Amino acid sequence: MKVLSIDTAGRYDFVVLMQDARILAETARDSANNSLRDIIILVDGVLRRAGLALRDVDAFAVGIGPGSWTGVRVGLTVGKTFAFSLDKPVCGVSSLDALAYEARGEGGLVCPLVDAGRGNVYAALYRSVNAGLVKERDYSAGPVEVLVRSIAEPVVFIGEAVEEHRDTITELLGPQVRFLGEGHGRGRAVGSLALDRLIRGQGDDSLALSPLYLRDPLARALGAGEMAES
Amino acid sequence: MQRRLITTSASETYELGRRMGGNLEPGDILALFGELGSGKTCFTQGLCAGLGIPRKRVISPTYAFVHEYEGRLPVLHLDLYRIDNLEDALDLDVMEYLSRGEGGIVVIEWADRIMPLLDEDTIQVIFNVVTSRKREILVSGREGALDRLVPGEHARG
Repeated sequence: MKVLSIDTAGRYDFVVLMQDARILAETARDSANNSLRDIIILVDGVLRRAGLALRDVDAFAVGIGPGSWTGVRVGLTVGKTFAFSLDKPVCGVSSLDALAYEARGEGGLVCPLVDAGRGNVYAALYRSVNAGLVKERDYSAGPVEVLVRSIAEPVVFIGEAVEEHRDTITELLGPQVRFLGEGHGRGRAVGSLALDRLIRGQGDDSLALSPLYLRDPLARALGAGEMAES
Repeated sequence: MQRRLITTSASETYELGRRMGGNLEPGDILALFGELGSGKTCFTQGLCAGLGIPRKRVISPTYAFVHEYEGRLPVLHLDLYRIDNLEDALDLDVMEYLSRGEGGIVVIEWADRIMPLLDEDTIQVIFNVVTSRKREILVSGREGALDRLVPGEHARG
């Protein structure tokens, strides 16, 4: 199954074309400087390098956030439009699931982080067991200090927000923390996670699929200064 | 820190804005508070004039929610009048506008809607109507910012 993945929720815009587990072509670009207006050009470039046309794609995968709200809206709209107009399946994948997927072989607790502004992060907790992941704490938003204080065992952090909050996290958790970087494989992770669901027929509705903003938890967190779950 | 200023006409409010606008630096965020007709848009027009932006370009963006101007520094002019709460402001991606303004100026009318998003670096300007023409304008923020934006305008009364 050929899956075209689009994730524009974070610092980098990813477009990845995979045939099952094999990557046919991919591109990643810094999303600064309004690169979103070129998203169709990025998609076109990836398809050309793979020697394929849009109609050859069997299904579409899109990153639904949390992350940049504008970025999420653009990527999601493009993916849904392709799926609807070509009558192909679409599958939405959360940024946090995709980041955690990259750390699935690490063992122990995995905490993906996405910046939410004003010292806040979007996060979730997963346990990595036998190279698989079990979600232990649902998507939430709140101050990074509050999140970190709630973790009482060795943990791996991954995501673009990690670097910004590295000092705070290290100060609070000390040597039981490991950092896995920004998560440059999340474009592929979106594709892989979508494929898992698509082959089981668990795609999303191309009209109803919505962003995962975590707006209400973020508003509660901003108001109360606490972690709030979705 | 807070400084209290009195203006006795719309043109004085405009002039106060123009003087402050001349001393704005990249990254300044101004949160404006005050009822309808208290002088927020007039002040913003002055502020933009101080940045070299023609007055007639600056109108209350109530219906557009945000206007962008290019002067000595880029200006994002937000008007949250129609926003009822923080959730609605987040839907409009206010967070993104606040961070995008880093290289320029952000002016927010009806900033009371997003109090939790304003930090101690925000310059708060409160417009109180005293009489039909007279306004009490309270400017608060860090001392350095006040010295830069309202030099010599010491607290009166």
